Amino acid sequence: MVFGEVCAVDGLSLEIEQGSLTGLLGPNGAGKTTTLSCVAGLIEPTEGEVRVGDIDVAREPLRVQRLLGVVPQSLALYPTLTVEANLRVFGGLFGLAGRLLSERVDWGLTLAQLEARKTSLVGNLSGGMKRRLNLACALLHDPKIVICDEPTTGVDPQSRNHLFDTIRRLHREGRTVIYTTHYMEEVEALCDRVAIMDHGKLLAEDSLEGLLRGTEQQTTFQLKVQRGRTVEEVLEILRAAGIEDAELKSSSGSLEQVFLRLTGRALRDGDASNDICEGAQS
Amino acid sequence: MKGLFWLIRKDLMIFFADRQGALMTVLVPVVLASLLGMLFAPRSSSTVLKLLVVVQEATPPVRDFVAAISAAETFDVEEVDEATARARVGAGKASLALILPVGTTEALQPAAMFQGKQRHAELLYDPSDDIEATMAAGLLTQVLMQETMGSLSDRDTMSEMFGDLESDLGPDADAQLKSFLAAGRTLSESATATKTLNTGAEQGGMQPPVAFDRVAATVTGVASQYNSYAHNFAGMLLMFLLFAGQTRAKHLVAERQAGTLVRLRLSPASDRTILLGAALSTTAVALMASAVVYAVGILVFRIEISGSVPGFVGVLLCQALFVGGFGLLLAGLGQTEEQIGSIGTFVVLILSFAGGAMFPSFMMPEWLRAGSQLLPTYWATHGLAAMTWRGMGFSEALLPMLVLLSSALVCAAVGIRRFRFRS
Repeated sequence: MVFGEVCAVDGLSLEIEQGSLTGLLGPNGAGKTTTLSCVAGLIEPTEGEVRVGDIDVAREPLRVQRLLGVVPQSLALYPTLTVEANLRVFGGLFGLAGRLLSERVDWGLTLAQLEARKTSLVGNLSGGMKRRLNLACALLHDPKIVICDEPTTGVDPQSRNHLFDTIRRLHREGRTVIYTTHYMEEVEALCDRVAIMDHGKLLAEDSLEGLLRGTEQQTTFQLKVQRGRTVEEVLEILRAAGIEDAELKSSSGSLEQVFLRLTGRALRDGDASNDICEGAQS
Repeated sequence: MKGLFWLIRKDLMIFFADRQGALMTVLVPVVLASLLGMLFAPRSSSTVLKLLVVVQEATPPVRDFVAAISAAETFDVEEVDEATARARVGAGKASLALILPVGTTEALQPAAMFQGKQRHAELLYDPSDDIEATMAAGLLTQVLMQETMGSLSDRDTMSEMFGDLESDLGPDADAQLKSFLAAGRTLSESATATKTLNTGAEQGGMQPPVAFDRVAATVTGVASQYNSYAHNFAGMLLMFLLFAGQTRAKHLVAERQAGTLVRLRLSPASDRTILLGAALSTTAVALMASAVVYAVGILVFRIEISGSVPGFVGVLLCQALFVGGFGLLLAGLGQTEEQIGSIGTFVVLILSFAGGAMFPSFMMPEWLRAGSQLLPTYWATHGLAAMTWRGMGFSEALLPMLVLLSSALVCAAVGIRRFRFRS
């Protein structure tokens, strides 16, 4: 895929299995978004072809788009319309009408946990709420394939956790999910297959375990101990079990884990008015 | 101080980075000032008034009078029959028509100036252009007087005139007047008599033998139906609908920048459908605005739809479609909201000005009047005038509708072709 003198995607050959949750990992400018734009039929590749099942995307982009639910990186919402109106507009664009549309709008409100805010203007929502709505708008037509392009940009840990839960649920329900990000921990947390891209090329593609097996010489386990045990006591137990080369480090977990433990996992939608960027598309 | 310098420099750099915007900042006032200057500048002596002339009595004096009008620099004369003259002025296709009735020959005799009996000739005019009619009446009187007075320099004519006047006097006429006329005849027989003419007439002195009665012409013949609000409502509505088209174009570009356009493109709607939707939503807004504006005009300002109601609705519909296409064209021409703002304002003002939406077309120079017929805005205002106060039939709405519809299609086609879905 060439833009002027820039080759954004170069000789990419990637097959994504139906029903998988594949992480497309790469730094900024790796070509992830361009790849997904080709899959979604937004850009026609300068060379090669993209197929979704047996459909050639270049020839039948509209047929493919009915199968896809794309969550764009930007907050593609109308800030001067209400939450419900946004859902209705995007549902209607996918051909939903009447009772089915109303049912799917209610489903979307529940999914985004915005039932109480359905009459609020989107411009007045917090960043996290907008992200959740952004996801819900893409899923109203019940797509078979869900493409998430960095959906967690600028969200609080609670909303991120909610988005992760939603994506896992979509996967469990049998949908194929493609998830792009440049955050390793997101891919680790969600994906069963990982493709790593950089400079428009595919560098690696395997299951998460397969990729880690190829690069790691040691295995790290997490060990939970009851309060009162010292490091020495735990090491003693491990040695007694025949694990002589064990190394034990004390860790209090990631900052995100600490934050979630202290502040809880419940969503904080009521704090939107405290947002300094209230009304802005963040 | 250094901080202030850099703040100013930063703003100037941003200003000049948008070259198109910077250019428009100076171009718009220059062009508008030139056009307005042209509009309000005093009419030069070379201004020519188009005049249709109907001759109902083709005698040599009348022919001479018409020739004199034609010879005057101020008139561009075309001889037509009465029906044509009434139809063309009524339809606004000509602004003036002079009907010289039977009896004009007699009125053009020099003696008629002193007989106190004026002949009346209709000067038909477009009711939206009464200034030009007033000017034309004055100029025609001037030509008439020059022509009639010129014949007084002929000794035989003068002698004949005094003889006629003497014979017209009754037995109880004033003795002094009789004596004056006898002296005048004697004088004209022996010398040039023109110097004596200002001394009196039978009843109150000399007067123009023909009065040019200004008659506002409409197709239905009901002059009172002209309502200046009709023109202003049509013009202002059109101008602000074009600005609404500009706003829609800005929204479309804003959608591109915000990302919602991507989401629309991810739906089964094609790119063309998305743009067509944008144009038709603008059309719907334009129609709603038109309905409200004309409702106020009709209820409050007594604007009447004296012509064809379907024609009126048709012109409004085609005008709204044109506004939709115009918005799409601007979205295709400007890459940013700022560019659309500057290009759009310029184009809207020019289209409104030259199309007669801001000022009546009679105020414009002739070349601009002729050139404005190439603009869809001219046909919009013309079509609405035809269907409202001119009281014309549906057939007169067809050409404006066709022009507006064609313009809408061309604008939409260019807009769709040029619009970039990616920034």
